[in-house]
Amino acid sequence: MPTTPTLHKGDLMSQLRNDLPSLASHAAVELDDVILGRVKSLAAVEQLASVMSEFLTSADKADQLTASVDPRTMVIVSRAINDSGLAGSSPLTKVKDLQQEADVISKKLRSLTEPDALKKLDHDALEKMRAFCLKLSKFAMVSYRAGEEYRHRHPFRR
Amino acid sequence: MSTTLTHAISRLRSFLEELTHVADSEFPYNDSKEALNLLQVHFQNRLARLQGLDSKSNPDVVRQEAALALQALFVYLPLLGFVLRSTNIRNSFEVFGPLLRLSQDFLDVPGAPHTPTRLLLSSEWDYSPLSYPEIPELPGFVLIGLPASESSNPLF
Repeated sequence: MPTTPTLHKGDLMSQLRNDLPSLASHAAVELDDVILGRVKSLAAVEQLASVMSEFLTSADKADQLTASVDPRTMVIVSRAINDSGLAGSSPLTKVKDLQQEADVISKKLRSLTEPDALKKLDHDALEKMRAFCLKLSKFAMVSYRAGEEYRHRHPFRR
Repeated sequence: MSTTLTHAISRLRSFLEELTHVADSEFPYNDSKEALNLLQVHFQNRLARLQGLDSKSNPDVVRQEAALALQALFVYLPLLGFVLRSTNIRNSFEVFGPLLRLSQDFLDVPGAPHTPTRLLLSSEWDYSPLSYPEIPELPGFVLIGLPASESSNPLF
């Protein structure tokens, strides 16, 4: 799977590595507000939708995927999709399936931000999306363990 | 309001108070002050998010927001100390200019839409080399910590 190191992809990668737990949790807060009928903003939902649609993209050839993220992030997203019950059929095991599911989730998230979308909402679907955002945030937070990564300790340091 | 949420808000308020206290220090260079401002904005946003939650909010959502707030404190409290130590007169302020120019020569891409490189020159108590690869809330900042234990050594 080729990776193209462009500025945009680098930014996305950096954003995912550093902000994914916070972004996903913020989206969960916004979805919770939607469920409670007190929508304030859906900015994080929109941003997460963009991230989900861009982190795995098809290249010119349909069978070739370009990853903007590391394999660890793919595992995190895949686990969040499986555990929140959003996976269409069986558990995701292939990158291609992950891309398709991520694309579906991205479209669902983006549809919430459209005008009049909140009037025709499916409560169960919203709760599943909120569960997905929470799982994504939790798995990313545990996996990256940002606090420890900033400070690489020397093996001989006391 | 749940205990988790109350404690998380209280912790963030204390941290913001400490940020305000540190901001009153005398900064020899503007970059340290800018770093503090960025941290202040980040933690105020985080606090506003927590204050938007209440007893009707989903408990899992509240717990995750509180956990993220606590994690952010673990990450940024040592960095706040680093910024505070950048005001200390034991730092070699004469190397600030050359190190900043060197960092900008290495990292700034001419013509590219890029955050200008800024420098935090401070002191550390570590002899072993260490690095801060990416600090999400301090984009474009280079952190250099010189060993405080060697501050009396003019040859260093």
